[in-house]
Amino acid sequence: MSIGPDALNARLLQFLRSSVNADGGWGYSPGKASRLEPTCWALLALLSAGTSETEDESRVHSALALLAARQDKIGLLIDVPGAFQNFAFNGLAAIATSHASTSRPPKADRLGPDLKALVSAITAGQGVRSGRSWINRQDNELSGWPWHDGVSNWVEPTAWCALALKKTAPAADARVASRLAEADRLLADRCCLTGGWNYGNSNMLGKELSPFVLNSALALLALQDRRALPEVVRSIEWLDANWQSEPSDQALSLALVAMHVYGERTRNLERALLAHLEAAGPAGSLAAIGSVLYALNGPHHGCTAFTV
Amino acid sequence: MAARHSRSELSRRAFLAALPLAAVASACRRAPFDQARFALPARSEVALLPASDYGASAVDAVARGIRLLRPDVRGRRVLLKPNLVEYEAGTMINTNPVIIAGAVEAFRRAGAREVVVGEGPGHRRDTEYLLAASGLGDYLRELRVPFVDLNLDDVRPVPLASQFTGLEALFFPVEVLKSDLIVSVAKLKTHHWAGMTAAMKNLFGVVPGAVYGWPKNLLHYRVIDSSILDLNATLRPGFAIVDAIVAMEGDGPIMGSPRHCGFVAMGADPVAVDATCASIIGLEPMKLGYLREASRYLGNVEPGRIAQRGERPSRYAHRFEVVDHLKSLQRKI
Repeated sequence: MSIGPDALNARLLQFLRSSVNADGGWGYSPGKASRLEPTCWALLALLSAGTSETEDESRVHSALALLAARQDKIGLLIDVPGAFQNFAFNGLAAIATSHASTSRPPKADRLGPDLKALVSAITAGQGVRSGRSWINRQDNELSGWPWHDGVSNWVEPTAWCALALKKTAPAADARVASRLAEADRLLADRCCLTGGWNYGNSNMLGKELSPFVLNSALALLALQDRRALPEVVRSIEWLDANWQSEPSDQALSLALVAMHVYGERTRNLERALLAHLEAAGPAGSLAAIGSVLYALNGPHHGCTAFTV
Repeated sequence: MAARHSRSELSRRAFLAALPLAAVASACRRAPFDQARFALPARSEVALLPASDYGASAVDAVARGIRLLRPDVRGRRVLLKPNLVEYEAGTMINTNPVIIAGAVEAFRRAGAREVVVGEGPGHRRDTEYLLAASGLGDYLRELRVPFVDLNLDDVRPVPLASQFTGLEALFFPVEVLKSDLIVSVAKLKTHHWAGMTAAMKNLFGVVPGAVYGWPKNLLHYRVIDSSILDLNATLRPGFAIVDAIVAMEGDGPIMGSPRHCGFVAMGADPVAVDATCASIIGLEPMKLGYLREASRYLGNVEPGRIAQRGERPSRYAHRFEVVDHLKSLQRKI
């Protein structure tokens, strides 16, 4: 028997609430150490759910406080102590922090990490430029963002960081404008021939590689202000025609958010997401469950966390 | 322990990435491994078991191989690490789920206290999708065996037991570290950079994506051969099962073509298993950089130190197609 979207929403929200760690963050699964990605998605899920529960307000504040406690001297948030800083999830953290400060002022903007320092550190980060290569048809001189310091530029971290800067950085800042212009070029350069994106190589050794739904949705969100680009046009068409090919919590959720932001029809996607959740149960990580909750509730508020 | 890497250290990366393996090793201040910490087995057993397809013969091959080699799993927690990197319908990218399911049952029957399957896919971060699309999720549910997404697990830094990469430490998933026995349940494929991927290269999947990204680019920057060596030296997988019923030739590990070989290779020495597989598909094992270096400290490559069990390698001898830039790795006909 179908349990309906409201009951499903309530069940997932309750699961998320019950999975919070004592330090105010979320791990990738219940009982695991708090990490940036699931904590940020949980934050976005709670904010989008619009509950009036005082305890949810408290959870939002605790999560923001945890993110603030993770901020290092240069402004980046530490995901795992001692490891490289993860640019992708710092981009997501900037988006979540910014959204919290606008949707739950005034306390949220005092509790979270220093957004200005975070944005400045993201702006300063970049991947290795390695020049053109015989192995594939892409411009490796272009720099976006790497997963961490000292390696190449990839689609997901570039998409998260570009979207974060487009939402939160001062548009008049020449350095930011330059980084964003190059990031947009990089994403266009890495677009698959069919439209859509994978992790970051559209071709290798003369063969065309296939796009993935999840990465395509993220890259489209980052390029929402460049809708006339031919790569964006064909990628929206590709995503519209292919979102069914990757039936998972996170892929369907991000596809739904991206399609909503582009003003495309999302009714079938929402139905598919609900049907998938009913059939399989929430099978993804807590980050995926957070993204599901955002996808179910964010559109009621225009998906403002992800709109530029 | 500092697993974090300074900008100055990483500024050497582009230089190191351009060097062949031997030069990287010699560029290290100290020897890339301490011989006293490693002992080559006097002789390594490698079993080749016939299986015509992914039906009952595949399950039987795995079971017979484990009975034949008798890995010590009694009372131990066994982590099976399949190769599940990406999914494309009709291709042979991943370890077939039947092999993984067969291994779960065989290790349980052999007395393992617990069997867990864990993988951290290297290209797709959507593991939920990969499990469903590949069919592995259905098998695991039926067998009631837990699956751990190694990309998203809690992590701890571990000093590397050899230093071919020049890295002091890497973060590894806790589920891997708490296993008593790591079993590499790999797919036999040509690899357009390393030459071949089988039991040893499969360990890339234990490196957590949520720390190192998708793909795990640091392992490429530090030279693939070097990363294979340091991972195997540090984690010491104690058993290997290689799915070569339908392998991949040509532009592997993703874009190659299926090639029916009809066997499963198994053994407690992943180096010897890989050396045997390389010979079978027409590659010269000592021309594969990681096998050549591994033969100095991790396991056996020389045919005289490998005891073949089950079928003879000559029964399965194939000359796999390889990409042009790897033709030099092929044995002379």
